[in-house]
Amino acid sequence: MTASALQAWTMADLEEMLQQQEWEAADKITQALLLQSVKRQQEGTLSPLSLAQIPCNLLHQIDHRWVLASHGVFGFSKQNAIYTEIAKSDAHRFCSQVGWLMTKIKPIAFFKFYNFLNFSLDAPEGHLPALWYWQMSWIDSIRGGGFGTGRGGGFADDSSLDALMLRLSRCNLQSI
Amino acid sequence: MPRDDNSSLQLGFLIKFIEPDLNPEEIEAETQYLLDDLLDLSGMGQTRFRFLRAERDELQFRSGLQFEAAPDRLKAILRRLCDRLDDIPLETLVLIYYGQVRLQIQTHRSEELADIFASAKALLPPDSIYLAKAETYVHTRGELSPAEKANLDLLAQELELSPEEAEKLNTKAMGPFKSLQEKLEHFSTVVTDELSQASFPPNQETREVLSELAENLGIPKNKADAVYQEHLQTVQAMILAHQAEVEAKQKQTDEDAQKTIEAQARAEQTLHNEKYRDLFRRAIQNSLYPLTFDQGRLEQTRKLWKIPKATAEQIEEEVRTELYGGIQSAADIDYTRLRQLLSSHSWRQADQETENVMLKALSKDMQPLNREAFMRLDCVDLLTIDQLWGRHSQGQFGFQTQYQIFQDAERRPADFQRLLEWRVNTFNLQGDLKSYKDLIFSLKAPKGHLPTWRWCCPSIEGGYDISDAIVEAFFLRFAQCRSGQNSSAAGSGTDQDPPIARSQADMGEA
Repeated sequence: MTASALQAWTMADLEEMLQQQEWEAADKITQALLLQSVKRQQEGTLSPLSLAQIPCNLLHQIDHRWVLASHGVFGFSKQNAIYTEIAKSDAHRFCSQVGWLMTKIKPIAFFKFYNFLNFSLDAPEGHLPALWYWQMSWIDSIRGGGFGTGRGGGFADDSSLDALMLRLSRCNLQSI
Repeated sequence: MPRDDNSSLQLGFLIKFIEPDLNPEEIEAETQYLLDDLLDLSGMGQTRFRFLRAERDELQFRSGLQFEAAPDRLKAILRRLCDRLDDIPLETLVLIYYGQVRLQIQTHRSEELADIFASAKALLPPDSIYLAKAETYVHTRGELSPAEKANLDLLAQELELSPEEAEKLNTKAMGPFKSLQEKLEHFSTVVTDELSQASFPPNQETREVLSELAENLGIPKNKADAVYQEHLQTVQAMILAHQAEVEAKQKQTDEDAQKTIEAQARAEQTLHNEKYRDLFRRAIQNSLYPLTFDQGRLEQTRKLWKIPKATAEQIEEEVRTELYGGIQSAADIDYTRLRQLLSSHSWRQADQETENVMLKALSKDMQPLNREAFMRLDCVDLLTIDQLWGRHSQGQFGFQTQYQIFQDAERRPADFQRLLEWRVNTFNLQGDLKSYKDLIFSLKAPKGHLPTWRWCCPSIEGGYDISDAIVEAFFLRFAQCRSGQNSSAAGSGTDQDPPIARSQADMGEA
């Protein structure tokens, strides 16, 4: 995973994976493109501040390809719509809605491990892309209640989730 | 020659050659010689000569002349004939007649012919002869020249007229005017009168009457024409000048009238504009934009009063500014939507729109603002946003209110955020931070609670966090703008603000 993050990925790679419906690979390339855009390939994670600085243009390009390939099931704009319209900016409600939680009962609602996410069109709307949220430093992972391997097993991080959603709103990524 | 055919002043002549030794051809040649000789005399140019005809051996030929001449020509004519008879003594018949009186002689000797002169002179009264001569002169030149005068003196002597009588006749010949100058002056006056009364340009009839007058006055034709032309030009110039004056006056009048009409129209338009302003003010008393019903009414009124759409829009914007605050921008930002949201007390949306306009004005690619960005923030825009928030919340919200609270908090950013209730007093899982969705979007919110400064946050949920550096930098800029706008209201602490240490990151990393 670290190796793929360091590789210089292009929009064409993403498009190819999406056309082949290789959703997991597409998610990883998406994360790599985001990291590249804010020069955080070394850290491998996206902080709220770095999320707030991802170029609007890149977000539009990535989103457009996800929405097109998944017929509107996946994509940032879908996620932002769910966050603002359905979840009303509530992280728990959002994560529950897009099927990221292992259990839906608060406060013992912790996240699925990344491998257990549903990488198919049967997944709930807005289920992907997800790695931008899952990938975190081992210290944050442990601090968040996980096992030092990412979001999996941990609790929600309102601030990071809101950072991307706020960015999407500021970049005017809204879906129907 | 006098042009009026006054026959009483004309002597009739009949001269016939009856020399039997001459054949018809020679007599005809002699007649022709006499004709040429007489035509050579001055004053005879217009005399009408008729040939007398004789018949000999059934052959017709010219044998003499018959004509009329002025009495003063008598001597000259007889002298010519005498000279001829001296050269060639031909038997000649000479008949001179005046009215019923006839004088006849038949001779071939010049001495005999010369004798007839004294008798012939007695045919006419001397004053008639003199007057005829004087009139001839006068009509030719308009007045008597020195040479003509001398001629007349000689004539008077010959006719045995006294100088007094001669002078009287001269005066009579000259008519009522003593000199050509006087005649010309009189003619001028008449021409002026005639031309000023007659239609311009004068018709043929007028011109004929005037030439007749010139003739009667004895003014030579060329002089009369000169006077006429001169007056014609004067009158023409006068008429043109008058026309120009009338036209100028008319133009001035028209312009004045036009100006008056325009002024009235302007006054009326101003009145209509003001009425429209009142109408629009009433229509937007309760909402920033008129109701549909009022919109229709306003549009009808606008058309009725012929107010251009642009003018109407300008008036509407002025009234809106008056009632709901101005939306001036130096950064070309449209604050219409912000004003509308604030006027309808849609605080949450207004807060979001505030972020929108701030980022559009200052941010590259809509990224959250840092300390440096505030220094680029245009005062016009900053004060417009502040003024809109303050006006629509009656001073409850806005940067001015926040600045006051910052002063009250003794310029301590953490205390400032607690007073605004952007932070809580008790610590929880997020430290003392609140989430954006926990903030209060109504007039019940604490003073200065809105607008939020979400425009400098990477995220606002799970901790709405404004760094101390941001608070200080923003108020530094705000104080600058306020003092620029109104020096008396400038914050006392503006100059005492401590320089802000540049931190590496304005916004703390999570």
